[in-house]
Amino acid sequence: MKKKLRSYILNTCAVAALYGLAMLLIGSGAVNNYYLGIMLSAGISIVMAVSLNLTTGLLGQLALGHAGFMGVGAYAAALLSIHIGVDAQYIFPLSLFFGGLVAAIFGLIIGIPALRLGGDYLAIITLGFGEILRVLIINLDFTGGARGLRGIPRVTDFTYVYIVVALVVAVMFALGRSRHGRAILSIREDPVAAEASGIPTTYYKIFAFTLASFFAGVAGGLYAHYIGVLNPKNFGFAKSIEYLVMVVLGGMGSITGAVGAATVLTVLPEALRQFSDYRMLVYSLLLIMMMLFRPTGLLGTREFSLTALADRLLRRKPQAPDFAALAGELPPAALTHRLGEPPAPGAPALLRATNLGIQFGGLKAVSGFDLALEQGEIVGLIGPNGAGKTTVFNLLTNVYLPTAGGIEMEGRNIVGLPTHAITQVGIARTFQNIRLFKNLSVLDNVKIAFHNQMQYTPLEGTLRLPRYWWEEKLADARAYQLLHVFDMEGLADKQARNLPYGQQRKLEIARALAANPKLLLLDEPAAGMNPTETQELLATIRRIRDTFGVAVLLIEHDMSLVMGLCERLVVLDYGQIIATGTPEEIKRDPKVIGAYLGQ
Amino acid sequence: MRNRKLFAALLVAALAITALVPAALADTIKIGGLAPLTGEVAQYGIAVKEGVDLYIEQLNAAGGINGDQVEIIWYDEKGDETEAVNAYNRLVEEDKVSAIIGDVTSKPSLAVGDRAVEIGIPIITASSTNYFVTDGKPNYFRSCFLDPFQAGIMADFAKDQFGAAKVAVIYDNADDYSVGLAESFKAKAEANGQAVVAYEAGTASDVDFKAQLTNIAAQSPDVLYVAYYYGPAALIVSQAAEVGLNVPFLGCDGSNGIENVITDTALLENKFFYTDHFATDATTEKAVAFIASFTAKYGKAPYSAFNATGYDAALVLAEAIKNAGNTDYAAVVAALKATSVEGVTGKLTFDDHNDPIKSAFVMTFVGGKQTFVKQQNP
Repeated sequence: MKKKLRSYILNTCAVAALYGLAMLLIGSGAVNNYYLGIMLSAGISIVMAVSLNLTTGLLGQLALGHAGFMGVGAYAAALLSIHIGVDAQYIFPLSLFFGGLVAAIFGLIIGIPALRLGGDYLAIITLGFGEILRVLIINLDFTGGARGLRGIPRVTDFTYVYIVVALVVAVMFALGRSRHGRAILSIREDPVAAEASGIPTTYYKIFAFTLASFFAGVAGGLYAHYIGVLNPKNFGFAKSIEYLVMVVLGGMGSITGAVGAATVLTVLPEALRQFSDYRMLVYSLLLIMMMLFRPTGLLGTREFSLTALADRLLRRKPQAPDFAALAGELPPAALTHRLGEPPAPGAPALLRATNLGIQFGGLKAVSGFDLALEQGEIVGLIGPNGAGKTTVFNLLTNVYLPTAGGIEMEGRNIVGLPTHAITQVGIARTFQNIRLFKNLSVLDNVKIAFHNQMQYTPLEGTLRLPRYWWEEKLADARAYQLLHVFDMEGLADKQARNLPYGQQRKLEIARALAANPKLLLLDEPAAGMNPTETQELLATIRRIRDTFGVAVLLIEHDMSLVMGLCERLVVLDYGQIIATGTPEEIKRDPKVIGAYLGQ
Repeated sequence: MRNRKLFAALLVAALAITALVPAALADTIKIGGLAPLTGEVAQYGIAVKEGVDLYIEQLNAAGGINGDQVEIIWYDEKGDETEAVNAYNRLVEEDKVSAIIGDVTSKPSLAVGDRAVEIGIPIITASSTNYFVTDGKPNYFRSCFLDPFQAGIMADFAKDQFGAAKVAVIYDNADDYSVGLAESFKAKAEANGQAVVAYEAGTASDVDFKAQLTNIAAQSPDVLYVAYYYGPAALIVSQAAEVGLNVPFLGCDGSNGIENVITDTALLENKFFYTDHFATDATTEKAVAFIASFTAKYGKAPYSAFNATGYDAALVLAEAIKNAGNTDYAAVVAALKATSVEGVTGKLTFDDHNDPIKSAFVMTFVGGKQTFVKQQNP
């Protein structure tokens, strides 16, 4: 908190000082209209690049029509200023907001169908959008058609551009470091794992895309009121690619990278003006060399931090956050996980699957699967490869929609619920092939799964209102507590991708636990572990059950783990249950011996 | 440390000397040139630049303006408004030019004009035919005529030459130039009592206009006004023959060059008429001298009317500076207003709207070559 406060003060002072310096230079005439014009263009490009970075760098969705939203905002803001009948300088902020709003509405309309589909649909649809928009503007009368829209009051000045740039960058940082920002990042890293951690991925995709459209619309409003003439051709594919180049060059996902690249790429063509005919050649060459020698962009996914720079200059050592102290500050009640209350007599089973089945084409992958789980049970699901074990997990978490049968969680039908809602109901899972948010820290991996247990809104998060601080502090402390269970609290700052294999498996379990489940589904948790690690895991799983009161259903091939840990086993073969019972019973079951265990 | 101080001192000295140099060369009059020299519309920018450069070279050879040499500083704006504004700012703020020739296409001209009117710098375009470029800007002039002017001339020409009672129009609804031409042709034809029997739209990126041409043929007009640049116009003329539309075609200044791209030039022979600012077979003394000197400088004959309007723009501006006697913005603008010179495109004066009052040339093709038909006076 203290460290953050210091960082806020430092950055605010730097922003204010830069503004003061710029105004001084403009006022004294040291910066003439030529340099001012370039500064304004650069500012508008920064807003465009930073907002596109939200879609492309942070959300991980390729969008090829960002200039289209700029165009919508430009026309909307300009038309409002022209027709409202009030001197434009008094209502300029309103015009800008209106431009952003109309662009956001367009973003929503395009985002909903495109983002539900996932994959490259967004790229294709946004590509079409830019073209449709151009044709629309040309053919509508009130936009001025092909002749362009002229007579827009030129009220964009340095102060407006600077404020918008500062606000947009600040919002990006503030939002990025809130539960909503983590949700967006998790989608970039792995949408399946995000959904399984309880993130409503479609909602956040649309949220991020719409927000990016809003900012593009605001940038459009600034542009319109700067140039004074709008040309429908200026918001096409080529322009969108220009902004995409800025994001790629700056480093996908780096906000400060986008700021830097937008500035450089706006200033460069002007700086090269004396090379006349060759300037575009030099510009292209520089771009190509940049991509060859720094394919991840100037900053990669890193951020330039003024605080870190100040620390280095003052030779202060960055302090690792002290999680233990953090936990000590919080009331003990806040740290207690949901420990299951003993079920009331006659209450429905925790999980009940009845006659569950799924067909892929003509193939019955699973059929007639019956299973009842009680609170706190540890049950193993075993069987030969291809028997349908992971398919059962995918059915229970609704990655696949069953073609037969039903699933109830505490008496409530959960068939057809989206995966993230199933996580909220209390089923969390791990994956056979580890699916971590690889480029995020260990701590953030765990905190992403707290998403649904936190309540602050995007606005509260952006404005850093008290609820943000309280919930984030709580989340940090609980994440520490969870990591401690796995002896991983010392790794909280490490990138998940840099963990050794065994640690990655454990982190995935910690993340699943963070979603506060009543039932934990573990898909081959011991795969790739050596016997010592496996024994540790066995103890850990048992401890988790005892500490958190969760039921565990696990798929595993390691018989020492299964037999030592599980209270009950279910054996699958060819998609059907061939035996259930205690480990001792299963060991002696001739069908299981024949199909799986062997003599 | 001492070295650093010395270095700083040297730097300051160097800067001071640099600052003094322009003062020593004060006998040069600087004029800015704004044009797209690369990009989609570069051909127009280059055509203007060649005309302007030719005049400036001749002017300097003849002793400049009142003994001062003229330097022209060109900046490429790629046909983009933001680039045009940057280039304009650079000319005004960094290069401190006395006047500007430009811009070439309409929207960059509008963006630049909004700024130029604030400081009153004399500025003249050789090619922007959009009405609003000079509208409400007492310091913005042009040496080319307007879209309505040339389209109106063609409506009159259709009446006089062919006695056309039924006219048809094909235009590009995605292009401001084309829309402007089509609208004013239609208005003038209706004012002349001619019936506009077909008014068909396409876009410049179309390669097949047969649907529109079939509709037009069904109305059996007497002439077809083709409000397209030369590329699509060539396609339209060729495809009209295929759908059996056999009428005179009327074009605009943008049709210039059609004979180079059409597959069968026979289709144009005494059949395709267009307005232009200049005729390469013109016989006035000024025009003949222009053609000769242009050919001598560039190794090719003038190929675009913008060569001539560019030359005239520079001529008009230089005359105004000469008459004003100094480069004060207001004085030069006043002198421009009072312009009355014989340019290569004819005698030129300005109306209240800073548009030129001058004759237009109606051209056709004979033996595959551009041939002057008639000079239509305003």
